[in-house]
Amino acid sequence: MFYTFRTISKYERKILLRSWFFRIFSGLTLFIIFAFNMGEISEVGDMRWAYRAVPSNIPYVSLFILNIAQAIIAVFLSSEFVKRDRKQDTAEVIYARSMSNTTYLLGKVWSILSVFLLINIVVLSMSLIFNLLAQNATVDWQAFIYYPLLISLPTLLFIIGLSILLMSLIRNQALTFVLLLGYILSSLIYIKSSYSYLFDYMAFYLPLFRSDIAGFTDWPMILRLRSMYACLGIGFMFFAGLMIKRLPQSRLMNALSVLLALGFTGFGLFLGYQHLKAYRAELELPGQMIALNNEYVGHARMDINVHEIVFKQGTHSFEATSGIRGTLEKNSDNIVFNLNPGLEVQKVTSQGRELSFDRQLHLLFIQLDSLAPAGTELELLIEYGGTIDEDACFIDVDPELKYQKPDNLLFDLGRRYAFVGPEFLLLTPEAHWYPQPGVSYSNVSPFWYRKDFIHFQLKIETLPNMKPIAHGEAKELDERTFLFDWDYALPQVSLSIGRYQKSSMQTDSLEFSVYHIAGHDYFKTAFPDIRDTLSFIFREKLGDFERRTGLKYPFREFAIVEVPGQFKSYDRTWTSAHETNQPGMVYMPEKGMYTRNLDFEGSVHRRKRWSRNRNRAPEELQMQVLNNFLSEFFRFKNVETSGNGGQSVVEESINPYYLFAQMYEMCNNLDSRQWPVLNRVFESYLRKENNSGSDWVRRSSGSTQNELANMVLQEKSFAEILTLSENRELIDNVIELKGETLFSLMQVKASTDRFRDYITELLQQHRFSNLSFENFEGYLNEEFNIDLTRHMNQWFNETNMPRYLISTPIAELVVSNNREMTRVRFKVANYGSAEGVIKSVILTEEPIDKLLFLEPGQTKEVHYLSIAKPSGIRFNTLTSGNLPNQIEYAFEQINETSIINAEEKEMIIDNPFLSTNSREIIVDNESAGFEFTHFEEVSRLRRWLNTSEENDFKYKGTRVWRPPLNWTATTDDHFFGEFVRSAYYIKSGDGSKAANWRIPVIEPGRYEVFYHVFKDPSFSWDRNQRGSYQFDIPHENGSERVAIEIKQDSPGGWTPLGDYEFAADTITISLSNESRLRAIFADAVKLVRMD
Amino acid sequence: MNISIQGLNKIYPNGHQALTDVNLDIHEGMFGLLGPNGAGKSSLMRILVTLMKPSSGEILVNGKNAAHNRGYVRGMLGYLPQDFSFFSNLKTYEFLDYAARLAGMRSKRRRSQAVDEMLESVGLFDVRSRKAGKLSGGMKRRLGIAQALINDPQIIIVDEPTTGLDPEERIRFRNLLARLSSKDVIIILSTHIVADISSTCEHMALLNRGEVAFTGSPEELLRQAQGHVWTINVTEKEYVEVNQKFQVVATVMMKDGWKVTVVGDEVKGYDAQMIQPNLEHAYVYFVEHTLKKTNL
Repeated sequence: MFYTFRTISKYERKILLRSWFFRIFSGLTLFIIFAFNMGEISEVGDMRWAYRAVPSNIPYVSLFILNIAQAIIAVFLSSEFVKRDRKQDTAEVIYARSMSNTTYLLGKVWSILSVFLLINIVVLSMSLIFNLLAQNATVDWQAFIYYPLLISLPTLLFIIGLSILLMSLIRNQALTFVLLLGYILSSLIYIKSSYSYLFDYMAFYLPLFRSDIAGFTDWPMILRLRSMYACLGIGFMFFAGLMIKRLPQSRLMNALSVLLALGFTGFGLFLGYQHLKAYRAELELPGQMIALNNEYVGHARMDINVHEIVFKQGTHSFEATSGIRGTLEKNSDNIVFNLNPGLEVQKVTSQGRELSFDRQLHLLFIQLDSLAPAGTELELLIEYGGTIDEDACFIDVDPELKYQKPDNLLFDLGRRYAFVGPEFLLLTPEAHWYPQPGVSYSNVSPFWYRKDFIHFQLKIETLPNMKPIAHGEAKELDERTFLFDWDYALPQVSLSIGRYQKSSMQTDSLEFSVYHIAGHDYFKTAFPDIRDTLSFIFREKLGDFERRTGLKYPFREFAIVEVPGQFKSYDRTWTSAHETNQPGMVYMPEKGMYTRNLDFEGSVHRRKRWSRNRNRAPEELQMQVLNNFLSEFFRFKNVETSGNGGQSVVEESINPYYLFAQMYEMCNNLDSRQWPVLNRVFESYLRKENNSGSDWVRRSSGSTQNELANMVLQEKSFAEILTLSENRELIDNVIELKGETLFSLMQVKASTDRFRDYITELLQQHRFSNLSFENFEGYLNEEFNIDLTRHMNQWFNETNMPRYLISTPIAELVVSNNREMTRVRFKVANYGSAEGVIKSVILTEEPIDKLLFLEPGQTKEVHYLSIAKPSGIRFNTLTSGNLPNQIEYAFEQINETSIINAEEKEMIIDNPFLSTNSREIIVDNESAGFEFTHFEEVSRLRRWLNTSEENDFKYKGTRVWRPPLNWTATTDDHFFGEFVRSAYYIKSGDGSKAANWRIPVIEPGRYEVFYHVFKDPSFSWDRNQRGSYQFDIPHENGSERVAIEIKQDSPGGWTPLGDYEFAADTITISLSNESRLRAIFADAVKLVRMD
Repeated sequence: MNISIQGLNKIYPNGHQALTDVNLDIHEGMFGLLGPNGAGKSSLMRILVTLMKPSSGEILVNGKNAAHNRGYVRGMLGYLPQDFSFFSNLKTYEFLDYAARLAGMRSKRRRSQAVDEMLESVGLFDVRSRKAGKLSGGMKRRLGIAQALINDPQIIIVDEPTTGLDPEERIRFRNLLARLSSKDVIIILSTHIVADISSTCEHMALLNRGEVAFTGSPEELLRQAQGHVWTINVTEKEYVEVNQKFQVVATVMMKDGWKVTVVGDEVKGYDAQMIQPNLEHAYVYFVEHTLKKTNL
């Protein structure tokens, strides 16, 4: 039987290998993979660090690409050979030979499989060569075994099995091919990672990343899913074998085939069911935990002062004892803690007496001996052990987000929130690996969140040859026992244990350390020419950051601790600190794989190739690379854009390594029981940094994230937004905006430049302890006479907002205190129903920040002075009814004046400032009189391919290189508008789409007509771009078609269209989309009465 | 070695009865299966080679029921179907090697030798490296024969083997089969070309409309036609008449008219001469007279 099997496979393989279809397709695939390796891994190309940092990624990415191609070719080849067999005359000479149907079919299948495995070997060999040649990349030999078995084999078995079964059933190759191709596309485009990758037979979304430190992300899930597909594929093959149009060789073989078909298919289905069950449990657990948290959010808890943890590492579990000392928060005989549900509590004692306890999922209820009053001192000893159930982590995070594939890599790395294994252990507070007082995340009450500063002590017993890393240096008690004992209180502790090695540098009072896994010391050879100065450069950078924020780095050590690449954390609403940021250290993925800034030697090498760097010294290039690396710690946000059906989507997320978290979150806390979010808001003010000014973000997505947050705030109060399930991605920006607004208001009310210094001093005094809101308010009241509570209610609960009208600022030369200065003068009116603050920046070499306060209905004339000549001024209207939030004016000229006693001032003026005068009629695109022809013109293919939901915000990005086919609203501060500076734009065309301004002319007469021209940024670099806007203007003597030419040197803004006689009527001026320009912008039309 | 076909019936799903109560005993040597197109020869062949199930009846091979012992039967078979195409991407010798391996020849050396010998004997040795798809029609047929004969099968079933072969090839093939029939093998040759059987078969059966109309030796069939085959010398006018009255099996143009060979019980009124029948004459006589008389 085996001989016949080999015979069939041998000759079928020969036939396949000689097929031109196969040769062309596989040749093309190999070429693509070769080109990819050249481009992404070799020195010739981009040398992508993510692939080289973790060597298993090199074979992984090649097989990942191959797998898509082979899945398609396999469909064709499998259906082809069944088709060939259907022509009985071809197969009869073979069918008449002695062999079982299964032997025959399996022989054929093996021929296809073996041909693909051959290609796999070629691809792996190619990867190996690239791997060996790649800079700073070792070879993970095991990966060369794992990946073909995990990616290619199950995919091929499944798709070949499915193809031949379908072909046997349908008996039509074309239909089978269409059906299977449809299935492949659906799984790639629609189904994606649904049901935890259940339908991802190609492992396109399934994370198969293999960490050098901790191995595969979720080995049981990977085995379950890949075995499922392999079994189903084999089962289908046996079923197809039963359907071959050939009389079975023997009843026994036939019965065996039936058994195997049912057995394999059944086992595959069983694995699928198990997977679904696990997925459901994973989905349900957070909901169940949140429900419990909601129920017990008001339950009595302990305020902990001391927490001593004795920890014993096991191979796949750990045991620990928590010695807790603290006080009871309120009168009760029962207190609640939360602890990961994967950990079992064995015993709770208090001063030697055993206490009864109850476990409900993650909650631990401890029954005290009797009802104890608030403030009672308690001492508890909790013994527990087990492992971490990662489904219980990040329960507030949308499951969809957890399954989202990152855009920056071809494959998903997967996500882990804790590691408990024989080679590596990582436990952060999110894993709830030690008992924490109270409940965890609740979606009905913000009061679940409490930050306590606790005196922790950690005694660790590790497995042999392992080193524990927590904050600071451990005292080694013996070979396997270590003690961490800190002389200050910390808000949290985390622990990692692995085969760590330490490299460190000392500068002043700060130690800069890297804890890396043995063999991952590639960085030691980097920066050979500036090595001596590395620590000073870091200290200098940190010093700059400290000066900028006014806060001091609070620890004696800053450590980078290497953790597996799958370790993942998410933005949270109540803190800007990620789990990657722990007191005095950051957890970085192995070799910093996510960012090429950590590919030190590769970055230097790349820079050398740039022509502008040819004459630069190596020290200079190394310095550039070092600076880029250090910038990883000083950047607040990561901003990424991605395409979504032609529309750009901007995603902002907090940089998980941002050092500011160390300077505030890890050492200070503004503790408000009434407004817990205040701490986050306060931090946002202190950080003094946001990304709201990014013009490119607005151009890509239509609005900055802060502007979108502002739009949400126009509709809902801050309190409402914090509990909303929609627009979660904007919460961070809402908090940022509200924080900036509140504290800018405080600062302006304090009427002194000392406000911020005072605040930072206050924080220094309360380092490693809570600063209660009541105390904070008392201090502010005492120092600046500010009543914070008065503002808080309105700030937290109301939707009223200021709305500003700002006149065009004028810059003029004046003399002040016998010194020539530039005065910037403008008027601003607040038409809104709430007080507000405008942040202004006078744009000089060293920008000058100003804050301007306006009561509702108030108009001010403002004079600012600057010694340096400003190039412009930028206004930020913070939370307001204005859009865009940032308006920038450039000063094309600075007027000469004879004013000699100029001074900086804000004058309240009685006459409200208006944007128009009585002789003007303006109809803007935001006015009721504006309308446009509407066509829903989206191609079916695009609609089908665009599966992601579009955001429901009105304003989209300005994409002049690929304008929309329908009139689409967009914003820019160069558009005309009172409060909202917007326009509609469209791709230019044949004139079938028009925008109309219906202008009510009350007084008949002669009017000069103007159009507000917007010139998009492409005019600044594209000299050849020119074209016209064509208007139809009906007037008393008929109608006229008027065109205005727009080119690089033509002016923007109000542009005359001529003067016309109008009757007292509503006239409609139309703008056609017929033009040679790429896009037409419909903004505003103005009529100015002439007589 | 013997094959016993007992009460074999085949009714296709569309209701067409291809075989009706076929009973045959086949022993070593060449067995010819003769019959007009559509007589059910190929259906019988396909049932014999276990490619098709009979509707009823059974086939015993050496006493073993073929339906329950397909592996046993297939292990002894060499089969050349009526029509078949090749894997066009395989070379001639590769295809034969494939067949040899499937026929159970495991020794590489022996197989290689057998392949070469077989290619030699069917006259394909010179094109052994040519792809099967590029062989001429006759060559393909010869390759088909070669694959059926490789590894000395004990039962050789060939369905219309000489179709498409030129006379020289046909003779070569007949000789090949004749050589094989001297061994202890059963060769079943299905054909509608009478000459194939007359020159090689010791036993034969005649199938007509799915039924066995005759079974015996070719000589017996000849005997039945003895005295019923005539040559008639006719004029042009008589020629038309003769064609209407008799079953003409051959016509030769002469200087003064035609020499027509006819089968019939009696020829009167013409310049007729009784001649010794050959198997072709016997076949025509049998089909046109005996069967019509018995209403088969």
